[in-house]
Amino acid sequence: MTLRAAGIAVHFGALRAVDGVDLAVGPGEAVGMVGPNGSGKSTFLNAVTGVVAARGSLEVAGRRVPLGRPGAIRRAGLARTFQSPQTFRELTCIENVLLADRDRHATGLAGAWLGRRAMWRRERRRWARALAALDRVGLADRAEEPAGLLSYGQQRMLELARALVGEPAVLVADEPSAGLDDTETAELARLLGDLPARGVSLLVVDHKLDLVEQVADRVVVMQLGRVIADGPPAEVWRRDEVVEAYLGRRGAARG
Amino acid sequence: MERFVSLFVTGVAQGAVFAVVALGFLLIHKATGVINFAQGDLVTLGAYIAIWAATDLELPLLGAYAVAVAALAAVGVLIERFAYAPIRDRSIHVVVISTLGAALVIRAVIVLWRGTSPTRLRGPLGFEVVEVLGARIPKQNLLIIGVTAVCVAALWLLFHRTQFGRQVRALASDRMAAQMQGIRVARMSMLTFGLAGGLSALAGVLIAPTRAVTVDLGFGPMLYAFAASILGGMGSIGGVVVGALAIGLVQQLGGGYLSPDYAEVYPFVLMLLVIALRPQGVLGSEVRARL
Amino acid sequence: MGSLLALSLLAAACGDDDDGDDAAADESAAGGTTTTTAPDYELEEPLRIVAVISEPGGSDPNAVPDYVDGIEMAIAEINEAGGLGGHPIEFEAVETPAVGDEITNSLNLALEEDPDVLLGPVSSTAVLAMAERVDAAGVPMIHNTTEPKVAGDGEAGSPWIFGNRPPNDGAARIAARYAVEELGAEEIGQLYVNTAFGQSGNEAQDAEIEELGAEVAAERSFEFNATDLTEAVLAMEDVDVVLDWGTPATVGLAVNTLAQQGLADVPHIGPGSVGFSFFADIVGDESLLEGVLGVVDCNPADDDREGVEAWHDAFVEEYGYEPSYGAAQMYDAVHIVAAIVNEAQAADPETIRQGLESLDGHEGICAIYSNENNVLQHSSVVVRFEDGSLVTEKTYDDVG
Repeated sequence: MTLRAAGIAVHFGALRAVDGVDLAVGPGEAVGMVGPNGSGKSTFLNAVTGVVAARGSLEVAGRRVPLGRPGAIRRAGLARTFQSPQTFRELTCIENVLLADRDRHATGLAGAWLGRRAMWRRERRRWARALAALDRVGLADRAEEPAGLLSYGQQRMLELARALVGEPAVLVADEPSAGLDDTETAELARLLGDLPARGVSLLVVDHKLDLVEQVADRVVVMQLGRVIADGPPAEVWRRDEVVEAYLGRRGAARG
Repeated sequence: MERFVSLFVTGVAQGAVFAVVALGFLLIHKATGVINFAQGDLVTLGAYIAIWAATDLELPLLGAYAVAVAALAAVGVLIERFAYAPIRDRSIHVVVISTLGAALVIRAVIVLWRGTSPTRLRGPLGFEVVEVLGARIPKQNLLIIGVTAVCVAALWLLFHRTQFGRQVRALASDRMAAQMQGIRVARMSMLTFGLAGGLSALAGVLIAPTRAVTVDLGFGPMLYAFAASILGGMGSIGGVVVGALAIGLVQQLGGGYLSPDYAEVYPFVLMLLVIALRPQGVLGSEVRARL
Repeated sequence: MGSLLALSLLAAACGDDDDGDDAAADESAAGGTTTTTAPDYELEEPLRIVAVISEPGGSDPNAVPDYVDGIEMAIAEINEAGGLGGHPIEFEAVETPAVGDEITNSLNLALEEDPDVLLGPVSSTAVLAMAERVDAAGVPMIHNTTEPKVAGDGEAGSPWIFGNRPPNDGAARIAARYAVEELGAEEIGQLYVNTAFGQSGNEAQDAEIEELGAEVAAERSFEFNATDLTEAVLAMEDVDVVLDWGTPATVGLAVNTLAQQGLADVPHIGPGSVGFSFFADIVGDESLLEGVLGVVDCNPADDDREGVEAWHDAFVEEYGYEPSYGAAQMYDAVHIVAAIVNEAQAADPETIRQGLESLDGHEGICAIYSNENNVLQHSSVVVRFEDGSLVTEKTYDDVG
């Protein structure tokens, strides 16, 4: 399994925000996670990315990783994009992407001073990969501009490029379409949809069910901190408890 | 004209030393958010270690300098481990006071080890001078300027063309996000303290041959480097270097052409003016993009 | 009635002492090994001298052995000649740092030794830290500093505290006077450090220069930790003489910078620190020292007064190094106290205090000592470096 979370539980005092969630995402699989506001989706993402303290166990790319250690989890191969993009505003776009490069060799001081020739070679390859990633999200022409000058939607794309260049085993995307207009959302759906084919598993949480349906081949529905349904979208939407908990409103909205 | 050239070169050389110290401030500040007030005493310690290596170990001069730089890099890491890491999560004031404590410890150690009497570190060029446009310029000043230029260029490359540098800048930009990107925060702070320690030693061995070495050697350079960092907006290599050169020149030319009585004060007047008029620093902008 | 009885008893006691002492004095005189003869009396208790001075190997790595060696040399001489009042002088040296909180600890340890007189300290910081307690303890002290705050009219002055170095202001004036009267300077340049030492020295020089009809052509001050004196030295371009009241570090920096700016030929007169052994190490090149002058308290290596050369040679033979003026002054301090004790035939603190207070014309190795405002020495010597050693140029006996 690329991502295996078992018995994840997050309690805020008496509130069981996430109450023993098991979730596995296989290689090249794209999973959507949906649920009403307050169902525990974001808290679950925060737990598996190490941002909030949680109980349970976590495996990334087949390796056990301790919970609560965002850096270690990221290095194990789990990348995340945020509901509001977390780019380094003072760094240029390409530097933002370079930071996430999978090649962590010769990044330290000793490498920088001692293995200079090898370092420059590696550095050139990094730049090439970073430019390619920026190109994929349509930001190649803004590579040398500070990320702080990008629009909200562009920052989100930059974050995605950063996630891509790191070649994570799994990308966790938290509300990736928030704040995007329809064209941008369509572009985003296309980019995310490509990922499984490139060997990156995907876990997407989004309010826009069209988007989830478009990119995910499996959907997990959460309510009150628990998983209430898990399966192919077409099948899940039909389940009574899902309709009752969540999709009723979608039906109403559509009707 | 000779007088101007003489004062100008002196100002640039003094500014260059301030710049090296200020770059140490900058590195640590970027990686950890802390101002390391032990920086000045690290300059002094660097000079004393070079003296020790050159006289007691009888190493050739450049070897002694290298020993000083390496030793101070290690001292920098020790300061990080003992004066910063244990209280990293405490308020910034606690951490800054802790670096002041480290400064006092270093000072006490120097006094116990080498005493309070002035001593001297030889320079590779002795007291030779070279005539430039009629002005007699000590070669050591030219050496200071040259070494600093190389050092600034190397640091710029390090900051902009290596993952290490980008990680430092990412930490400065957004600590939490940097951690989320898998940047090893603890290792980075150790490395930057070490690098800043080495820079201090470099400043120490550059400036020591121009004067007698006492336990106060690094105090003045640290104050001016601090002012330079404020002038430069504490954000970028370019800003810090411009700030440091401005301070060296204002001090020398102000002393030479306005009134020598206030030569030590001009840099701080300049600093206060900048704080009042341009709190983001001379080269600072709203998004401090170009580092 | 009671007091009369006491007086007669006292007289009887003294008479007995006198009788007892005759034999001892004769015996030691017969020994013939001494330069002075122990006077004919006996002390109830031996004189106890305690030094509060840093020694090499102690807390201050720069401590020089001169002071304590000077004291011990004098005590050994006196004790070999039979001591004072039938007893050898007792001596303890309490290790005393030049700076820091430990100074008061050292003083407390010294006072526990029950001294009749304290010798030292040798740093201004230390004497200021000790002044109040010394005054309260009622023990006379001869310190080896120029600190004006512990002079008789100083804010920390005390009837118990005496200094045996000439005042800083006086030495500074001597520098100016030598420049004008001996070097014929008309345009004078002044360098000084922004501390009480430098500023008061500079003011004293200003007054002297004006009195002598010369002119201050350029004046520059700097911080004690100045890293560059280019501007200040360039301002000295057209002066006849540079008077430099800086710290050893800044005087050394000025010597180097003057040379770099091609002004090595301008006479450069510094303060007493020029006479310290480490000063030569600070200056980059020994050749730069030629032409550097200093105002020191005395120069035992080159002094034609009677007995000084013999003393200098004996010191070098005994201790193996050139004695500084500090060694001579501390040697003299012991002899001053011994003379007071012999004169009064008593060795209690109050007797010694009174003796120091009325000291007048005591001939020593470094100087002729008299008390004025609780300062015992009033002479300075202008010296010049020649082949790495100090040569006396002129002695001034009216330093103030």
